[in-house]
Amino acid sequence: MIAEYLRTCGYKVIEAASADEAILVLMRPDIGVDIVFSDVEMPGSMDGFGLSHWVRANRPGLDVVLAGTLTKTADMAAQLCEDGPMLKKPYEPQVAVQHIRRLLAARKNQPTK
Amino acid sequence: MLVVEDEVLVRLMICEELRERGLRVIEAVSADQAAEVLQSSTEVDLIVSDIKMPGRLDGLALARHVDAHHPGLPMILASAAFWNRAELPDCVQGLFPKPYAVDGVVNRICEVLKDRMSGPGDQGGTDVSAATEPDPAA
Repeated sequence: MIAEYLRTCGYKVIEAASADEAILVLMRPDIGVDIVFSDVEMPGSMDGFGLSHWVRANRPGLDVVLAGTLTKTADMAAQLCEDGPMLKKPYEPQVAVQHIRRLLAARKNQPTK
Repeated sequence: MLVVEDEVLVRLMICEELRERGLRVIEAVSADQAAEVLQSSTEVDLIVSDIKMPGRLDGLALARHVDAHHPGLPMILASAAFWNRAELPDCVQGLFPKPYAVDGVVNRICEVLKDRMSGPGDQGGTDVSAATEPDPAA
């Protein structure tokens, strides 16, 4: 649902069913990704936090927005994602889009490191 | 349009091409997930599916499920293994060997969708286009 909503907002969205799939996509240099939006709890070898760690280690500068059900995970996510706020589930798709828009806008305004 | 494929990069490639041609695409990573989509109120006019996938159902079982519960809904299958046409359920209107050229599969999808829109009396046939090579004909 969220992927479809983001597409209607004009974003090009790549869907990954797990962190493992996301990493396969992120490892491809020919596939451009400017933000990662991920659930916290997922099947596979790692969850959303594991994916955030991987992104920080391997794709520094790439923003991650996590969505999860547990309030306490918000603090953990905040530590992992400097600019990527945690969304509490259930979230409104519009809220997710606002977050993503804000992060992309902030990124554009940052001087290139 | 429902695309069922467990390999993310293959799924990404075909879905992107379909979206570029203006089609609305729902993605499923397994036949089980595809069956869930079909049970929901989501509208699906064609299914493109890999045959060999992890989970309770494979693509062939999904096709049998479609024959039984969604008559008239066409499917296009892809597989790295050889399949006899006679083994395929009625809903299968295309079979592509993997790895396939995306254009060939997408062209076949467009043909099936066009037939479906123009000929309501000709749905669910057994005209299986078993392509040994991607069919460039649009």
